[in-house]
Amino acid sequence: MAEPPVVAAYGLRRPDLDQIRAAVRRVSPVTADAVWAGLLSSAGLDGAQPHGDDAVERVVAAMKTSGDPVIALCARAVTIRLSSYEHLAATAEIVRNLR
Amino acid sequence: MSIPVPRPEQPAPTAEEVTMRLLADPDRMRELARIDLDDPVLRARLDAIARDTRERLGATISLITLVLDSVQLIAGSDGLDGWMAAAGGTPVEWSFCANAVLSGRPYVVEDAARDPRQLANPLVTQDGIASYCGVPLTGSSGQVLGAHCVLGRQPEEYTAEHLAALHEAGLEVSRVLAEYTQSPAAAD
Repeated sequence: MAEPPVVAAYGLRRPDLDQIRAAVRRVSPVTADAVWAGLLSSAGLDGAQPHGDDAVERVVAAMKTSGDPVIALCARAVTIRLSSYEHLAATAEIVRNLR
Repeated sequence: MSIPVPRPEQPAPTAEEVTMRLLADPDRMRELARIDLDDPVLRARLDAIARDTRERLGATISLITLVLDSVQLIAGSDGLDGWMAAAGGTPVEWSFCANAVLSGRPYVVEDAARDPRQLANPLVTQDGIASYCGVPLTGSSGQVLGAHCVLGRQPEEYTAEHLAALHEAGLEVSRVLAEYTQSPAAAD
Protein backbone atom coordinates (compact mmCIF):
# COMPACT_ATOMS: atom_id res chain seq x y z
CA MET A 1 0.00 0.00 0.00
CA ALA A 2 1.31 3.48 -0.84
CA GLU A 3 2.50 5.64 2.04
CA PRO A 4 -0.08 8.27 3.00
CA PRO A 5 0.71 11.90 2.17
CA VAL A 6 2.35 14.05 4.86
CA VAL A 7 2.15 17.75 5.75
CA ALA A 8 5.91 18.29 5.96
CA ALA A 9 6.05 21.25 8.36
CA TYR A 10 3.98 19.33 10.91
CA GLY A 11 5.10 15.79 10.10
CA LEU A 12 1.42 14.84 10.02
CA ARG A 13 0.31 11.85 7.91
CA ARG A 14 -3.17 11.62 6.45
CA PRO A 15 -4.98 8.94 8.48
CA ASP A 16 -5.14 5.64 6.59
CA LEU A 17 -6.68 2.25 7.26
CA ASP A 18 -3.54 1.04 9.03
CA GLN A 19 -3.78 3.91 11.53
CA ILE A 20 -7.47 3.27 12.09
CA ARG A 21 -6.90 -0.44 12.61
CA ALA A 22 -4.18 0.40 15.16
CA ALA A 23 -6.67 2.65 16.96
CA VAL A 24 -9.24 -0.16 17.07
CA ARG A 25 -6.56 -2.45 18.54
CA ARG A 26 -5.78 0.14 21.22
CA VAL A 27 -9.34 0.66 22.37
CA SER A 28 -10.63 -2.91 21.88
CA PRO A 29 -7.54 -5.10 22.31
CA VAL A 30 -9.41 -8.34 23.06
CA THR A 31 -11.96 -8.17 20.23
CA ALA A 32 -9.99 -6.08 17.74
CA ASP A 33 -9.86 -8.64 14.91
CA ALA A 34 -13.61 -9.32 15.01
CA VAL A 35 -14.43 -5.61 15.35
CA TRP A 36 -12.19 -4.76 12.40
CA ALA A 37 -13.69 -7.49 10.22
CA GLY A 38 -17.17 -6.20 11.07
CA LEU A 39 -16.21 -2.61 10.25
CA LEU A 40 -14.72 -3.59 6.87
CA SER A 41 -17.82 -5.60 6.08
CA SER A 42 -20.13 -2.71 7.06
CA ALA A 43 -18.02 -0.37 4.93
CA GLY A 44 -18.28 -2.74 1.94
CA LEU A 45 -14.53 -3.30 1.89
CA ASP A 46 -12.58 -6.51 1.42
CA GLY A 47 -9.46 -6.41 3.61
CA ALA A 48 -7.42 -8.12 0.90
CA GLN A 49 -8.21 -5.70 -1.92
CA PRO A 50 -6.64 -2.32 -2.66
CA HIS A 51 -8.93 0.38 -1.32
CA GLY A 52 -10.21 3.50 -3.01
CA ASP A 53 -9.59 7.01 -1.74
CA ASP A 54 -12.87 6.97 0.16
CA ALA A 55 -12.04 3.85 2.22
CA VAL A 56 -11.14 5.86 5.33
CA GLU A 57 -14.39 7.82 5.21
CA ARG A 58 -16.40 4.59 4.70
CA VAL A 59 -14.77 2.87 7.69
CA VAL A 60 -15.24 5.98 9.86
CA ALA A 61 -18.94 6.03 8.91
CA ALA A 62 -19.18 2.33 9.88
CA MET A 63 -17.49 3.08 13.23
CA LYS A 64 -19.98 5.84 14.00
CA THR A 65 -22.94 3.50 13.45
CA SER A 66 -21.32 0.39 15.00
CA GLY A 67 -23.39 0.62 18.18
CA ASP A 68 -20.22 0.53 20.30
CA PRO A 69 -19.80 3.93 22.01
CA VAL A 70 -16.02 3.55 22.38
CA ILE A 71 -15.60 2.69 18.69
CA ALA A 72 -17.83 5.69 17.84
CA LEU A 73 -15.58 7.87 20.02
CA CYS A 74 -12.58 6.44 18.19
CA ALA A 75 -14.26 7.51 14.91
CA ARG A 76 -14.58 11.03 16.31
CA ALA A 77 -10.82 11.00 17.01
CA VAL A 78 -10.03 9.84 13.46
CA THR A 79 -12.30 12.59 12.11
CA ILE A 80 -10.36 15.24 14.07
CA ARG A 81 -7.03 13.87 12.80
CA LEU A 82 -8.41 13.83 9.25
CA SER A 83 -9.74 17.37 9.56
CA SER A 84 -6.42 18.57 11.03
CA TYR A 85 -4.61 17.01 8.09
CA GLU A 86 -6.97 18.50 5.49
CA HIS A 87 -6.75 22.02 6.96
CA LEU A 88 -2.97 21.94 7.29
CA ALA A 89 -2.49 20.40 3.83
CA ALA A 90 -4.70 23.09 2.28
CA THR A 91 -2.67 25.85 3.99
CA ALA A 92 0.60 24.25 2.87
CA GLU A 93 -0.72 24.15 -0.71
CA ILE A 94 -1.61 27.87 -0.60
CA VAL A 95 1.88 28.71 0.73
CA ARG A 96 3.50 26.60 -2.04
CA ASN A 97 1.47 28.40 -4.70
CA LEU A 98 2.49 31.81 -3.37
CA ARG A 99 6.21 31.01 -3.80
CA MET B 1 18.15 -29.54 25.96
CA SER B 2 16.14 -27.42 23.59
CA ILE B 3 17.74 -24.78 21.45
CA PRO B 4 15.98 -21.43 21.64
CA VAL B 5 14.48 -20.41 18.33
CA PRO B 6 15.38 -16.83 17.45
CA ARG B 7 12.27 -14.68 17.17
CA PRO B 8 11.98 -11.81 14.73
CA GLU B 9 12.64 -8.63 16.67
CA GLN B 10 9.61 -6.44 17.32
CA PRO B 11 10.40 -2.78 16.79
CA ALA B 12 10.25 -0.87 20.06
CA PRO B 13 7.12 1.27 20.28
CA THR B 14 7.67 4.96 19.68
CA ALA B 15 7.00 7.48 22.45
CA GLU B 16 3.89 8.51 20.49
CA GLU B 17 2.59 4.91 20.44
CA VAL B 18 3.23 4.49 24.17
CA THR B 19 1.31 7.71 24.90
CA MET B 20 -1.63 6.58 22.77
CA ARG B 21 -1.72 3.17 24.51
CA LEU B 22 -1.73 4.81 27.95
CA LEU B 23 -4.51 7.18 26.91
CA ALA B 24 -6.58 4.28 25.50
CA ASP B 25 -7.22 2.92 29.01
CA PRO B 26 -10.57 1.09 28.62
CA ASP B 27 -12.25 2.55 31.72
CA ARG B 28 -11.23 6.10 30.76
CA MET B 29 -12.41 5.67 27.16
CA ARG B 30 -15.74 4.22 28.33
CA GLU B 31 -16.32 7.23 30.60
CA LEU B 32 -15.42 9.65 27.79
CA ALA B 33 -17.80 7.78 25.49
CA ARG B 34 -20.70 8.33 27.91
CA ILE B 35 -20.48 12.16 27.57
CA ASP B 36 -23.00 13.65 25.17
CA LEU B 37 -20.49 15.69 23.18
CA ASP B 38 -23.06 16.62 20.54
CA ASP B 39 -25.27 18.55 22.96
CA PRO B 40 -25.01 22.23 21.92
CA VAL B 41 -26.01 23.38 25.41
CA LEU B 42 -23.06 21.50 26.91
CA ARG B 43 -20.72 23.10 24.37
CA ALA B 44 -22.12 26.57 25.08
CA ARG B 45 -21.72 26.12 28.85
CA LEU B 46 -18.11 24.97 28.40
CA ASP B 47 -17.38 27.89 26.05
CA ALA B 48 -18.75 30.25 28.72
CA ILE B 49 -16.44 28.78 31.39
CA ALA B 50 -13.48 29.09 29.01
CA ARG B 51 -14.41 32.71 28.29
CA ASP B 52 -14.61 33.49 32.00
CA THR B 53 -11.23 31.85 32.65
CA ARG B 54 -9.57 33.65 29.73
CA GLU B 55 -10.88 37.00 30.93
CA ARG B 56 -10.01 36.39 34.62
CA LEU B 57 -6.45 35.39 33.78
CA GLY B 58 -5.94 37.88 30.95
CA ALA B 59 -4.94 35.04 28.65
CA THR B 60 -4.99 34.88 24.84
CA ILE B 61 -6.71 31.48 24.60
CA SER B 62 -8.54 29.22 27.04
CA LEU B 63 -9.47 25.62 26.26
CA ILE B 64 -11.43 22.79 27.79
CA THR B 65 -10.14 19.60 26.22
CA LEU B 66 -11.08 15.95 26.42
CA VAL B 67 -8.04 13.86 25.63
CA LEU B 68 -8.91 10.75 23.60
CA ASP B 69 -6.39 8.10 22.56
CA SER B 70 -5.12 9.87 19.43
CA VAL B 71 -6.44 13.45 19.65
CA GLN B 72 -7.37 16.16 22.06
CA LEU B 73 -10.96 17.17 21.43
CA ILE B 74 -11.70 20.83 22.11
CA ALA B 75 -14.99 20.69 23.99
CA GLY B 76 -14.99 24.36 24.96
CA SER B 77 -12.84 27.33 24.01
CA ASP B 78 -12.44 31.08 23.90
CA GLY B 79 -9.95 33.08 21.86
CA LEU B 80 -9.12 30.17 19.56
CA ASP B 81 -9.23 30.52 15.77
CA GLY B 82 -7.56 28.97 12.73
CA TRP B 83 -7.23 25.29 11.92
CA MET B 84 -7.47 24.06 15.52
CA ALA B 85 -10.89 25.66 15.94
CA ALA B 86 -12.00 24.40 12.53
CA ALA B 87 -10.82 20.84 13.19
CA GLY B 88 -12.24 20.80 16.72
CA GLY B 89 -9.00 19.48 18.15
CA THR B 90 -5.43 18.45 17.41
CA PRO B 91 -3.43 15.24 17.15
CA VAL B 92 -2.63 14.07 20.68
CA GLU B 93 1.13 14.04 20.10
CA TRP B 94 1.04 17.86 20.06
CA SER B 95 -1.31 18.18 23.04
CA PHE B 96 0.00 20.03 26.09
CA CYS B 97 -3.12 18.86 27.93
CA ALA B 98 -2.18 15.18 27.46
CA ASN B 99 0.67 15.79 29.91
CA ALA B 100 -1.79 16.91 32.59
CA VAL B 101 -3.99 13.90 31.86
CA LEU B 102 -1.18 11.34 32.00
CA SER B 103 0.29 12.74 35.22
CA GLY B 104 -3.01 13.73 36.85
CA ARG B 105 -1.30 16.96 37.90
CA PRO B 106 -1.16 20.57 36.68
CA TYR B 107 1.15 21.10 33.72
CA VAL B 108 2.91 24.42 33.22
CA VAL B 109 5.16 25.59 30.38
CA GLU B 110 6.26 29.19 30.85
CA ASP B 111 8.43 29.41 27.72
CA ALA B 112 7.72 26.65 25.21
CA ALA B 113 10.63 27.61 22.94
CA ARG B 114 13.00 26.76 25.82
CA ASP B 115 11.13 23.72 27.13
CA PRO B 116 12.88 20.47 26.09
CA ARG B 117 9.55 18.61 25.82
CA GLN B 118 7.79 21.28 23.78
CA LEU B 119 10.35 23.20 21.74
CA ALA B 120 9.86 20.99 18.65
CA ASN B 121 6.06 20.84 19.02
CA PRO B 122 4.47 22.15 15.78
CA LEU B 123 1.94 24.12 17.83
CA VAL B 124 5.00 26.03 19.08
CA THR B 125 7.14 26.13 15.92
CA GLN B 126 4.31 26.65 13.42
CA ASP B 127 1.35 28.09 15.33
CA GLY B 128 3.10 30.40 17.77
CA ILE B 129 1.99 28.90 21.09
CA ALA B 130 4.56 30.14 23.61
CA SER B 131 3.14 29.31 27.04
CA TYR B 132 0.68 26.92 28.70
CA CYS B 133 -0.88 26.41 32.12
CA GLY B 134 -3.45 23.64 32.59
CA VAL B 135 -5.09 21.50 35.26
CA PRO B 136 -6.53 17.99 34.87
CA LEU B 137 -10.30 17.41 34.69
CA THR B 138 -11.64 14.47 36.65
CA GLY B 139 -14.78 12.59 35.66
CA SER B 140 -17.47 11.32 38.00
CA SER B 141 -15.79 7.92 38.38
CA GLY B 142 -12.37 9.38 39.09
CA GLN B 143 -10.84 9.07 35.62
CA VAL B 144 -8.81 12.02 34.34
CA LEU B 145 -10.65 12.96 31.16
CA GLY B 146 -9.00 16.13 29.90
CA ALA B 147 -7.72 19.50 31.00
CA HIS B 148 -8.73 23.13 31.44
CA CYS B 149 -5.99 25.49 30.38
CA VAL B 150 -4.83 28.87 29.16
CA LEU B 151 -2.32 29.36 26.35
CA GLY B 152 -0.34 32.41 25.35
CA ARG B 153 1.55 33.66 22.33
CA GLN B 154 4.25 35.13 24.61
CA PRO B 155 6.18 33.48 27.46
CA GLU B 156 4.32 33.90 30.76
CA GLU B 157 5.13 33.57 34.45
CA TYR B 158 2.27 31.60 35.93
CA THR B 159 1.57 31.94 39.64
CA ALA B 160 -0.24 29.97 42.33
CA GLU B 161 -3.19 32.34 41.73
CA HIS B 162 -3.36 31.27 38.08
CA LEU B 163 -3.41 27.61 39.10
CA ALA B 164 -6.00 28.24 41.82
CA ALA B 165 -8.30 30.00 39.34
CA LEU B 166 -7.89 27.17 36.82
CA HIS B 167 -8.49 24.58 39.52
CA GLU B 168 -11.70 26.31 40.63
CA ALA B 169 -12.94 26.59 37.04
CA GLY B 170 -11.90 22.99 36.40
CA LEU B 171 -14.15 21.80 39.23
CA GLU B 172 -17.03 23.65 37.59
CA VAL B 173 -16.18 22.00 34.23
CA SER B 174 -16.24 18.59 35.91
CA ARG B 175 -19.65 19.35 37.45
CA VAL B 176 -21.03 20.40 34.04
CA LEU B 177 -19.57 17.35 32.28
CA ALA B 178 -21.15 15.09 34.90
CA GLU B 179 -24.58 16.51 34.03
CA TYR B 180 -24.11 15.36 30.42
CA THR B 181 -22.60 11.95 31.24
CA GLN B 182 -24.82 8.88 31.06
CA SER B 183 -24.60 6.51 34.01
CA PRO B 184 -22.77 3.25 33.21
CA ALA B 185 -26.02 1.30 33.58
CA ALA B 186 -27.87 3.54 31.13
CA ALA B 187 -25.05 3.29 28.60
CA ASP B 188 -25.05 -0.56 28.58
